[in-house]
Amino acid sequence: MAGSSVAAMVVGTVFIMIFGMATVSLVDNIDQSIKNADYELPDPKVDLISVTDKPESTGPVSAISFAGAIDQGTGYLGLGGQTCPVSGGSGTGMSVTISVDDDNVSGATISSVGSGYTVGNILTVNCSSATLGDPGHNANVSVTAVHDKNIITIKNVGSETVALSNIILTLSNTSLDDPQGTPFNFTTVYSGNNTFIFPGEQISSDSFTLNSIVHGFNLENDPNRAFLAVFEYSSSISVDVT
Amino acid sequence: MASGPSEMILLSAGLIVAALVSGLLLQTWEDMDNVIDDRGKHGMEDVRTRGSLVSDPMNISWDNTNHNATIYIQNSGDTFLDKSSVGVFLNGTSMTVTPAEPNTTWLPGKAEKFTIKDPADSLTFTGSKDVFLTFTVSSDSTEYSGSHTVTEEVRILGG
Repeated sequence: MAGSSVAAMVVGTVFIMIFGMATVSLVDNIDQSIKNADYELPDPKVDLISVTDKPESTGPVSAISFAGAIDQGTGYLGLGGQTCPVSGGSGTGMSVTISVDDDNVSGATISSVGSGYTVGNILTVNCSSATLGDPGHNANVSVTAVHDKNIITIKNVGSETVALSNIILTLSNTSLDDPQGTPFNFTTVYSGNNTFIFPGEQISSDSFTLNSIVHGFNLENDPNRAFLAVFEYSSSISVDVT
Repeated sequence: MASGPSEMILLSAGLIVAALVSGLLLQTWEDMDNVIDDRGKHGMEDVRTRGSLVSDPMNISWDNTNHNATIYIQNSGDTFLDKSSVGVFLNGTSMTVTPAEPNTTWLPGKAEKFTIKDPADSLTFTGSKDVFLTFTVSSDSTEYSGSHTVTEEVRILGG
């Protein structure tokens, strides 16, 4: 075979290989482009099953009673108008502002509602840091009512596992001029071990009290509508207010 | 073996022409390849860019004094979003959009608070009115920025 023909064949083969590689690269990129277009985002579906707003077994105190002479104690002289913590009962963090008649407590109003109290708890007003039962720490008030708490129950009705931190809730009170509360994450009212909610799974929040900063409603408010949003899916339900 | 100088000249000329044409074709091929690659990446960024309204659409309060409202948008995509490039139209009016936390990263899954305000200070609503709210979010990717636009019916409560 002539040398020039061999050279032509070699060069031709090189050209064919280069074109082949370029074509493979092009096809790969087209393929990748199609795959990119098929990229699917999560499609979570979580429904609100129930939202309650009612007194639970424990909670912040909303009302107290003062039984008069049997609860008036001693050693409170000069402490009228003072705010004092209380001790006893099942909760913590409560304080009352007392009115005083001579040496005795004559009345008390709630200053700080605390948390974890039960109706019937007898609380001792401690204005002196004295030992329980000593003067200044021996007048009593009784818990007659606790504030409502909320519980939210949700269910994963889709086929994908959903991170609880992606679930946003909003409470509203449609009877108010400014009805919408502040959206909050489900994880802010849930202390369980779960990070995700699996298909078909149902989870309830802790019983929680409303907070004007977190939820947009004060403790004593009764929102009547709940709205859940998770990505492009949403669910709403009326709040069962008792 | 070549039969003469003329054949060598023809062969050389043919090879040169083939090389030139091949170079041109390969360059075109590569350009096409790059364009498809770019479009693919851009398309993917577009698909990964998503935002959704997580405020209760039935109860959006409009402040008639300050001509503004608060909405919450969740990053429902798979890429970081740029808070400073959110655009909102309410009832056909372009709004000024101010994020509550402008200096934090808008991660996937995170809901952000935005104040939307009528720049002309003229938009008011009496009672409740059902209108369209349109918003656009963009990814904060520098090379290929995706965007996503959503239009939702919302009930605005004037007050």
